[in-house]
Amino acid sequence: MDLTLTFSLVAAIGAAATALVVLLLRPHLHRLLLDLCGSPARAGFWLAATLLGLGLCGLLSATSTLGYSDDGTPHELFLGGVSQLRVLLIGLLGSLVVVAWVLGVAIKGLQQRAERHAYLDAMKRVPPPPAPPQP
Amino acid sequence: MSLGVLTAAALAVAAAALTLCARVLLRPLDAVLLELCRERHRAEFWTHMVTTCMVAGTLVAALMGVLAAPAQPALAAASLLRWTLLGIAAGLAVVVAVVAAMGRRGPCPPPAEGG
Repeated sequence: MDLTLTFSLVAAIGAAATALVVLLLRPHLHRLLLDLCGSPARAGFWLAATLLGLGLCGLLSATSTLGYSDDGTPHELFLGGVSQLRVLLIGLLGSLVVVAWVLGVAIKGLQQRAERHAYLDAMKRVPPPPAPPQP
Repeated sequence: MSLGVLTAAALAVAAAALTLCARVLLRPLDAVLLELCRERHRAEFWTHMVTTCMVAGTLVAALMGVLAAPAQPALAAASLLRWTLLGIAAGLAVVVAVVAAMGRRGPCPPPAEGG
């Protein structure tokens, strides 16, 4: 196996893994973003941007050449392929963690807004306090 | 394989990635910009601006990848592909930042009467 074949094989595995992650995540993320964004247009944009970001991160890490060297002995090719796979998994996992963190912050903000609205609604329902006695 | 074939393959993959990104992103971007800008011509302007910036950014990144290529042909093609993907990712980050800033500021005011 030469360097081109090894690199292309691992990059293809990386592209397939990234596509699988994007396909698995898409329907759940869409429902969550509809709740968070409040309008289908915004949810659609953020869904597309998030999935593209995940896909680009996966492809970028799948095309890493950190472990390869120019001499290309079979032993070093194997280590280069393993290194490429490792970078791919780190990139995919890192991008998923970032997406989960951003979603967590957004969900927390949504809950705080809902609690504030509930508090203000409750304050509106309470009758105003009686006027102070006249001297 | 020769450097020319590998470079052409890398450029084809990068062009396919850019086309896919544009196809996936442009329709939702147009919808959200229409919601934020309230006017069709404003949304179209920003959509075209974003498309142009993404394509130009990707081309600049691809040229940087050509300049920074290593000696081994396969690694040079991989470097070119990676730089191009990095350019697309940078363009996407700019689009996301702009839409997030516009969303935080709220929708644009309606156009002036007679304007």
